Amino acid sequence: MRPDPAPEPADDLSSPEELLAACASGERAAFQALYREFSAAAYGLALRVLRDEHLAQDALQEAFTQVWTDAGRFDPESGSARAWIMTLVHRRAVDRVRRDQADRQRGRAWGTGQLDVDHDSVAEIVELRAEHRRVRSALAALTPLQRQALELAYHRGMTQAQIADHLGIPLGTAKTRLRDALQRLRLEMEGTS
Amino acid sequence: MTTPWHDLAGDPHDLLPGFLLDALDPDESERFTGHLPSCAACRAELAALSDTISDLASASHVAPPSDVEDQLMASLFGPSVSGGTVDDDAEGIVPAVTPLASHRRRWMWPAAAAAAFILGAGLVATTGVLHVADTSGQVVADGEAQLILDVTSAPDAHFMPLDLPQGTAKLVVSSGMNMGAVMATDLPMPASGREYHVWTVMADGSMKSAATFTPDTAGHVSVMLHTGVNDAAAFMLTVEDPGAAHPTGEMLAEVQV
Repeated sequence: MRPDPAPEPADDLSSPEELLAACASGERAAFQALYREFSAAAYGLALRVLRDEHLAQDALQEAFTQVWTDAGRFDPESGSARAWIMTLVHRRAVDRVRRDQADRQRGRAWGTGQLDVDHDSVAEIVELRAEHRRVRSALAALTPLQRQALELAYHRGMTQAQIADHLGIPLGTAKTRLRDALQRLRLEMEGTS
Repeated sequence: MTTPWHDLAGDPHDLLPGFLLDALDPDESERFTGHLPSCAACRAELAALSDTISDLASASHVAPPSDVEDQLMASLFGPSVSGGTVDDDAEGIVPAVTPLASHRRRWMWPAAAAAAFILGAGLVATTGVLHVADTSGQVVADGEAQLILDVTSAPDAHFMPLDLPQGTAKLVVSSGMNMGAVMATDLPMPASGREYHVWTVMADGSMKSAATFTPDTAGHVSVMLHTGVNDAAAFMLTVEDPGAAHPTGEMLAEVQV
């Protein structure tokens, strides 16, 4: 018996988009290949948001379950397969954060000005990749207030309204900061990709 | 540079950044997704920003523990890993993926699933197209065992004894999960070549194959029903030839819901 058979017929030549299409027609090997391709990024994101290994593993499983069941709903026009999968992962993680909001323990790092983008709890086990460096340098180009808003929204799972409340700023200001942060981030990343 | 984002109060375009970052309240999110089909500019902007967001999302890579993959595969494919033929596999995939949507299950695969459950860890499943990890037998057993645990520990679990001439058996159903299981102890082996067969009897009298099994050497059985339970009027236990499509054999017990 083979201890760990390679997924077939999906192979290295298949793009994530092709693998997703294969998932939609029920090819389990394609799903396994997608999992192996994206699980480290997905788990890294889930850990980043949830800061708990078990919760992150749950979110990972839930998100990939949805990858399998909803693969047919992926629309290549609206972005890459990677973007679609990471969106599912992020949404699961954020949903979990919101469900657990009573647990203030996890929120202890939510201080104004506590921008631990570069120093988070999993940093030591994060594989430093070109992607990571690119994102870091793009984040560094944001203003501190933009970075903070982005961090609170994307990595702490706060809604715009919660950010406004948390920072004591008008909702419109919170929205503007997020919008400006995204636009700047895009410009920076496009400039370096 | 033009931007589709306007600063008008209440303008749905204004919700795009929050939508991308999953930072909208449910009602805002609904408003934005309602707006999206009619706004090409927002759709284009979303697509243009999606790579930025996924770069941000993918910045930290941490390999998950390997058992997460095992659990995931078991939860998705466990009950139908055992199909044995391409056709069974193709028929079985959809129901196996969504264990809670058991009303979508077809009743042609329970025999295969039950067979895999009985064969246990020694089974190596190949579907003809796909190779499944050689622990697949165990995966099937684990996946089924977890479901049985879920049903029996459901807050609305309802236990119904099956009145058998020999041995003790009960049916447990959870209407919240729309699932059921059969558990038995000291159950005698059926006649050679035959198997126990559970049927779900619908209100109109029609019957669906719900599970087939033979006890282990100690007479133990725990097996999931592969039909929903919420539409059932009764359940019936018979002994049949393998793969029976209709109950024809001896009826051992019936329980009304």
